Amino acid sequence: MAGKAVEVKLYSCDGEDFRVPSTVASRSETVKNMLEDTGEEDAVPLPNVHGRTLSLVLDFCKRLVQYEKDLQDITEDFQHGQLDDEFNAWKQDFLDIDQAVLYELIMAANFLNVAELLDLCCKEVARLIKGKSPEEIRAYFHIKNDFTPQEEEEVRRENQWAFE
Amino acid sequence: MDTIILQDPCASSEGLPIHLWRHILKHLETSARLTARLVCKAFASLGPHDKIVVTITGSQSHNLSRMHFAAMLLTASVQGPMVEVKQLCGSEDDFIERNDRASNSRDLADFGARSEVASWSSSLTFWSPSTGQQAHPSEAAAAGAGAATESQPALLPMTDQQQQI
Repeated sequence: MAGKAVEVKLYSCDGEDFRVPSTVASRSETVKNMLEDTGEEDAVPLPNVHGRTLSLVLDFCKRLVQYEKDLQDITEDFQHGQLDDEFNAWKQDFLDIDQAVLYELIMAANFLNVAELLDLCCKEVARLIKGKSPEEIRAYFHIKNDFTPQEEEEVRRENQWAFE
Repeated sequence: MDTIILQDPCASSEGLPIHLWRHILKHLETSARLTARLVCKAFASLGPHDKIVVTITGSQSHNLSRMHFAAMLLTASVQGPMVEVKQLCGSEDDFIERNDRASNSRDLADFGARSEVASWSSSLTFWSPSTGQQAHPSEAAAAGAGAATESQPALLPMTDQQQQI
């Protein structure tokens, strides 16, 4: 039966409800498995994800589904690059979030098993690390230096070969 | 060591568990990953490289010898089985200058080159930095397999410059 896509209901740990097409929700392997187990009529509880983060995850999934649909619809090769550019630009805007939200998104993408989102967010953190010294990385990510001077020297020595 | 101690936990929520940092650090090139090892004990415990990206520059016709070299380097240096070989399409000048390598990188896996690298590497010669003696590739593999608990590369170390051949 062609027609309206089946909608599923997800709710976050803070009680926020989200109604999304099952094609979007199923971009999360975790949700997909739950839907297969319980059926699409039952609401899916996501106790590890806050509403504001789930909203972002679903935004990403919707855009990803749209991108893949657009890819199937294109008739000319040049449109492929155009779609990629548009999606990449969208992703750049999407990642314009503060560090705490980015961390939450990574945790949510990991829990919900949305590989594309996890990859995107991890690449973003890697981009933030790139070009920074260890001190700068610590300061940026608020990580405490728990090395003793001897331990730090030892790691430096281990790494030396790469910088000679 | 699997705990990252935050200076100010309130400043950036609760941070990320170490397995997710592992995922993040995989996206860094070797020199950046090695730098990251100096951040804290947890990062250092992730090892210098469970994945190495070797970038090969130059046009395809020149790639055979470079891939040989890359194969030698990566087989000798990698301490784990995860190897990603990238090709930078460009001119001989690019090869020498090593400019803009990131912008043009192309995954050689597209050409099935990953397996070719693996097969070429079996015919190459390796050296042990500890003894200065020649080592058989199988020793390299053995050293790689056992190196997860070791911090030093077991065989011929790869410099950052060499990695960018």
